[in-house]
Amino acid sequence: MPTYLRVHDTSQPVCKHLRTKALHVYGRDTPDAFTTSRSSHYHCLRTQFVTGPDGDLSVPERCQPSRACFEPR
Amino acid sequence: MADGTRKLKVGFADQLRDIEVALPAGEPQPWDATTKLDVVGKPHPRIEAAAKVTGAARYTHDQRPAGLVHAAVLRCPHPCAVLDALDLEPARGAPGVLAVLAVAKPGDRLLFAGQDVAALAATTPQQAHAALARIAVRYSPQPFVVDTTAAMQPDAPLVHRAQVRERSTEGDEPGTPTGSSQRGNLRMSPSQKKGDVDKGLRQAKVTHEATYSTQAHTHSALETHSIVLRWDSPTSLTAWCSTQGIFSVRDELAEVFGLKPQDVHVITDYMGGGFGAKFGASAPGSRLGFIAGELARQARAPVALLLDRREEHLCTGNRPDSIQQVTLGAAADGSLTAIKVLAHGSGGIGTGAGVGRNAFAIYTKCPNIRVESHDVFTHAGPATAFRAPGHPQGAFAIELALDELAVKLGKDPLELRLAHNEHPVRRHQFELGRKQFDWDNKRKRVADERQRNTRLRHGVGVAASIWGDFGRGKAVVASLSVGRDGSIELRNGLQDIGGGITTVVAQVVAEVLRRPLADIRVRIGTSELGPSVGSGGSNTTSSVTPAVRAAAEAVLQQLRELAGKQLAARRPEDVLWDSKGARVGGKSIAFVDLCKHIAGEAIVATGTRPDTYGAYPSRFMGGNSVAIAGVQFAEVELDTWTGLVRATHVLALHDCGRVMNPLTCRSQITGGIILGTSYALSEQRVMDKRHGVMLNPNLDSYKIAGARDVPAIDVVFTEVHTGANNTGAIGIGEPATIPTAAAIACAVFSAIGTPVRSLPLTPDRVLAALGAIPTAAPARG
Repeated sequence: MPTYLRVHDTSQPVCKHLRTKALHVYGRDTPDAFTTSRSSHYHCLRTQFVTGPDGDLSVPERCQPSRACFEPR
Repeated sequence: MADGTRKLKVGFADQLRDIEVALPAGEPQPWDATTKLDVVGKPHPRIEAAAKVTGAARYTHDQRPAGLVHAAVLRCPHPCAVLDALDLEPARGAPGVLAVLAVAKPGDRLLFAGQDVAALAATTPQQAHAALARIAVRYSPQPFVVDTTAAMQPDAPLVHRAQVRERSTEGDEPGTPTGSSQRGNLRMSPSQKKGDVDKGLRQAKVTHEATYSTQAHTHSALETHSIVLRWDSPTSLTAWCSTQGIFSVRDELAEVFGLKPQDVHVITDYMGGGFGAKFGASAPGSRLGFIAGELARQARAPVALLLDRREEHLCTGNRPDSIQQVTLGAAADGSLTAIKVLAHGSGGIGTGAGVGRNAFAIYTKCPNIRVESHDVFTHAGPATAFRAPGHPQGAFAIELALDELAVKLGKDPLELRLAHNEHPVRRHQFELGRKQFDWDNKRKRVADERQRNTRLRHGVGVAASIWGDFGRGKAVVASLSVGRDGSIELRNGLQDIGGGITTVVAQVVAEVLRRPLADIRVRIGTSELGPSVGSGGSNTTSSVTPAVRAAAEAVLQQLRELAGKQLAARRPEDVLWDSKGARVGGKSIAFVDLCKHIAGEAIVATGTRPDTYGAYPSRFMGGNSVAIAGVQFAEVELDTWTGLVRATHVLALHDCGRVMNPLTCRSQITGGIILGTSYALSEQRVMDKRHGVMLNPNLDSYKIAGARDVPAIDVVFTEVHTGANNTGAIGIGEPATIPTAAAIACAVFSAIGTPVRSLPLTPDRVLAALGAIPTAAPARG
């Protein structure tokens, strides 16, 4: 996806386990992986589910350093 | 060769012009409007057709590695429950059982009916399923909600207990960078904005406001999600997988099991359909790859985990439903002053209920637009991408709303669209379609039937689509070899999900090397064959064909050099290459004879493609890629006594850059229209609100369009030379399904003069719109 569509916020790190289809289609630097795209489904690679190991939702804005299960990319 | 600019002739129909594009060194001269091609652009049948129709093609479901055993999964029957107890030992002793696996553990809160609880592997599928019944499991059902509207209420049971608070984000379109947050089951998000919608509405002389709803749409690919996994050693495995992304499966299995990617071999020789749900080794609601791998380890045997149709409906993803409040404003002369969409939708326990770009990015002459879409969590299977995510549901609402506004304005709905569209190709499509569809005369007939209040009515509608060229640079490395025996082989780790890319890449090689198509061997479908892209976003053809062409041109260069030596050419440009071989003056050498002079076993070259370098005539959302245009006209026949709607004709006009193979391209568009017709008229997930389960997880009562439901389909390719890449190909898979349901809904409106604002357009809804039966709240699941 063209990166102009959203701010590619590199100050907002995202957990390395967060996955979304866009990563496989548009590449690992797709903005969808960093800020939520409204039409994207997300899941955690550790659980392969929409919630992470702590039971919270896995979405870019939640898979942040403040979360206990976070691991940097 | 240094980077440089090249002149290209680009455009469409009689609107051609010269532009300059900056090309990286080594990039072949792009094919443009002046290029004459003999193989590409011609309707070649699929080269794998015989294998498919004779049954020789082996799909994941057909794989039988030695010692294969079969997995089955125990799934939670409750929409929300705490797992109190789980004992697998009774199942371990069941006949044929070789491995058991707990996927959930006591204390886990399970969120939808269908979620993984446990799994086992047995010698036969029957033994595996029988053994599931022996698993001792106890649940404590919890309060749940499966209806989207109910889930939005403040007292609704919470699906996700933790409140997600967002920091400042931009969302997926430019908008106000304010944070958004979750309230109850509502996950608010920033809007797509242009201008000042509230001001635009205040200025409007005519307004229209209504609510439109669409249904949850479950994936129903012919081949269900499936994986066959075999451990080749403690640190390496082979997986056959029905996937749209071979490397997505490889990478996920490598991470899940702590392996090196090069020690994970993924094979997808053939796959029976993937429309967005088949990425990674898991399904959106089920840990297939992990389950298969763990069971295979325990059983010390390859494991096949093949979902049945019920599981496919429950836990492999869906298109979210939507409730869209659309408000339009127009000046007295009919010019739009505002478009406002407030959408809520449920992706079940997951996210992704956006409504695409039809409202924001097609009728761009409207100066004030705001589109907001928010997720509503419910206890149902998670959403996933489904052919043009968000777009068909968004198209339905805005296009029908425009038709309703057109009536208030006393305007032809096609004229209203023409007046606000700025994409030149889409204008061309509207105008061409108007003539070919005989729009004006058909509308007169429709109006006459309405006035005479006939029982059987006809209706006509039109709707548009927008998509982008998402072809990826530097992701595909295609390898082409020409052997001493004249054999030609193309290799890449690509999957053919049914769109026909196997044939298209063969055509590219045949075109460049001037060899018969039948002589080109294409080897794809395994991760061992070189980097490639996942097939999503309609980006396969545009990502792959330029890389294949680059490899072919590099091989041709070597063949020409070889010929030059053999024929004693004084200058490289003296070598002429054609379908027979090479010529220099009066001397010639046939292709097969030339190949005998190859030093070593073969000439081999690889090719890739750079990032997109052209986007003529219109850029997607103002960015660096082409905006793809499409328009569909639909005609319906409607029985006002029964409410039954039949789509009788769809005329589709689509732009996909250069049409590489009209046969496969037409097939893609036809498939998209069939899906859109099915979405418009019959498919819907039905949830039991009392018990929180899907009532129709099978192909008997989940109604997919059959052969007799398919309208007559006419396809017009409005070929556009964009300058985007060296073949000029862009995508078509998703654009082709976006406007269909919208056009059909608009046609129904024209037939009966009353809108049916809820999909699918089932007889009960049509009769309710006619006032023939009491109005009920639309059933959505």
